Amino acid sequence: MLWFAVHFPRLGLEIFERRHPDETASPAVLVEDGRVRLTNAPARQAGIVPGSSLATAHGVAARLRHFERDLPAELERLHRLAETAYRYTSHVSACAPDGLVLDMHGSRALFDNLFDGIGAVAEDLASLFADIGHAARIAFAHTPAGALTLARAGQRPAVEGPVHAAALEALHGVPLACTEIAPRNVERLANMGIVRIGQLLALPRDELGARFGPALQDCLSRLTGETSDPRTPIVPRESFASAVHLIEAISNKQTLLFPMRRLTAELAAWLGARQLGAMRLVWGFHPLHGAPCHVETRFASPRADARGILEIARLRLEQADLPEETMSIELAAAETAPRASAAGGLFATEAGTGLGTGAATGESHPAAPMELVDAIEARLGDAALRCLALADDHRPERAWTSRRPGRKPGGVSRMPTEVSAAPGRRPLWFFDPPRPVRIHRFRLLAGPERIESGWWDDAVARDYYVALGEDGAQCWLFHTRGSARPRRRGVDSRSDDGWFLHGYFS
Amino acid sequence: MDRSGAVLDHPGLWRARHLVRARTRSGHPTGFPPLDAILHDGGWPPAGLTEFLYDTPGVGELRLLLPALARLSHADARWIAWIAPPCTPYAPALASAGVDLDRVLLIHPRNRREALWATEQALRSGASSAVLAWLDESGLGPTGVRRLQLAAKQGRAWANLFRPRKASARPSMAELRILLDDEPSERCDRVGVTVLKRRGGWATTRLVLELGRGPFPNEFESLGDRIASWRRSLGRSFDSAPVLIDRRGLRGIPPAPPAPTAPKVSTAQPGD
Repeated sequence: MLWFAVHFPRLGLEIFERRHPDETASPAVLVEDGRVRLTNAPARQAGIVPGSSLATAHGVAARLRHFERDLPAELERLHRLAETAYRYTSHVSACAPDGLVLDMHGSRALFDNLFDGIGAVAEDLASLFADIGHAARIAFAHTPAGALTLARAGQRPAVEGPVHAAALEALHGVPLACTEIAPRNVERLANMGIVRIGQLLALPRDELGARFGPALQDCLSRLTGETSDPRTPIVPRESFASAVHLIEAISNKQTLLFPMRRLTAELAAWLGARQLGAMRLVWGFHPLHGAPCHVETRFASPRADARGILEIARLRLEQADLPEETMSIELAAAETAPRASAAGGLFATEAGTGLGTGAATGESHPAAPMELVDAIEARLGDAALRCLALADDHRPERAWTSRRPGRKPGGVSRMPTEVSAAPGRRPLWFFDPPRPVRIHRFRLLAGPERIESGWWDDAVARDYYVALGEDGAQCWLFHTRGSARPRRRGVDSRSDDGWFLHGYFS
Repeated sequence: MDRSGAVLDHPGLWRARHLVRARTRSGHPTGFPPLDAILHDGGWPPAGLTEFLYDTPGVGELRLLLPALARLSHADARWIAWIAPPCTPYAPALASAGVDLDRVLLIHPRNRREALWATEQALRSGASSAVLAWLDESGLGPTGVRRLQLAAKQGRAWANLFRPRKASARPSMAELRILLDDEPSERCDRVGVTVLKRRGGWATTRLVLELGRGPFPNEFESLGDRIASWRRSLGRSFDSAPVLIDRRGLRGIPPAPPAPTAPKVSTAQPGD
């Protein structure tokens, strides 16, 4: 068996530090029952030690910020983190208050090939959590309890050799305080001179059980793997919604990007675990008072790379009117779609023609076509981009349609035969609606071509001519027959004598 | 001497003789052999800015580009972006010229700053194989053109900028500047092309190109010839074939010949 454990030594404090990203440089402590429980790096440097009273801590560091421990928020956060780790294995379980265990046995061969050994997997896990703002200690062992104990102790067994032997060896030196043995028993054992697991394991198990109760016995046998230790896996959420609540309001769009980056990293992990790509995201920016502002970002193709998603959001924010002061930021995945496999070709293909780009896309790498669409739509608005398609109709203004890029065309892709048979018979520039013109300014060159159709909705009866304008341009004119004038889109039919300019042959 | 040789081999050093050596065929073939012959890469510059200077929309500026665009739309999976076109490019006409419509992306910016931004973005991103831009002259100084040229180089895109003729008096960083003017002809299928600036050569004299594929298919030019050839293909029985011609002409494609047993019908004399 192979279990990984993740221990978050400063989870209680980090959930508060997430809320004001600017001030990680000033000392902060987490307080429980009037005593300092956790400290951040500046506070440690100032000399504050866990266990000291709050008054002492304030005496040591003048500009100290302190937070009361919020256990429900910690548990909530732990479950989110468990979901983030879901990309490695389907069996992730949360161990309150600050640990995760991951059953990696099934993926071992994969990781050996993909990550160059389990040591590299541990590094990868640590960097994943660092990206979303949590320090993590990673360890692995053949039992979940063993892995968790090692992670708490901050030790990692040797990667070489069988995991079983390496983990047991590493466990021997771990202090008993890192195990799940009740603190009262740890103290009693310490009074007997037994402070490390190795010392305890050397003692006869039955006698220990008789003296300290079956709980200790059970704890030891789960540690060594003598009894089974089933863990309940988490069930990841079906939809993604996360929020960052800030303690101090942010009024600068540039500063907002910092907490937003954490949210996109979380989203990317969730998307990665579910093999999805985001199609539509909704960002919510809540002011202290008043209505929140929602900003929507859409993607033409499913996206799952945190950096690209953040870049699109940044372009979109430049256009948006945000509340003057934002107190909390929400991110919800409103629409997702299955992502095409990101597997690359065996051989490197020529850059620029590839459609799939992974999360590791660098700056210099050419963007996939759909990324250009997303970037332009984010800045210029949804209406700015159009793709062309053909439609099956003889009326020139209905022989084509336009649609948003990335959506499947609704119309036909076949050309009407009259067009495909004679290239060049249609103008390249088209006027919609047609412009009324005076015919004496034109010289007719060819024609007519009669188009008479659409009796069922918008009848046209026209004779089309190729004509030369006064300025030398070749025009596509038509003359309406009878009473059928172009009525659509407010063409003024009084001022003309039935002649319209419908396009230029360019 | 050794040392000077090493200096001359430095990749950052450019000597005029490289020009002759570097004359490659890497350009996008224009589809017009006389034009290919005078362009440095043997076609439109594959990564760089081309300026078209003309005053009359419809002079033939698009038909000049169409063969290359059609080829590129099938050869390259990237976009062909049209930025702020003066009218709508007509999809059936593009399709019948062989352009793959799935590659065509129309961008309609709301103002000239957005247009310039979108053009640069489309070029720089590397997601476009060709960009056709109609930008506002007032916002497009020499710096703007320079930015576009650099972006086109970076994104390996064929950038086309359509500008009024008076812009030819202003200096430009564009790799290729082409003046288009009207060449009167019977069938309106010619355009006068003057290369004002090109790589690897001086400006050229005016060149008249046959654009072909004008709005004059065969049936326009001589209906009589078509009918005659059709009759010839029928062989001996042409006397009996009725030719129904609409008085207005062009819908009058003759119907299928009747069975030989059909009663004789007196026919109108076709041909005019």
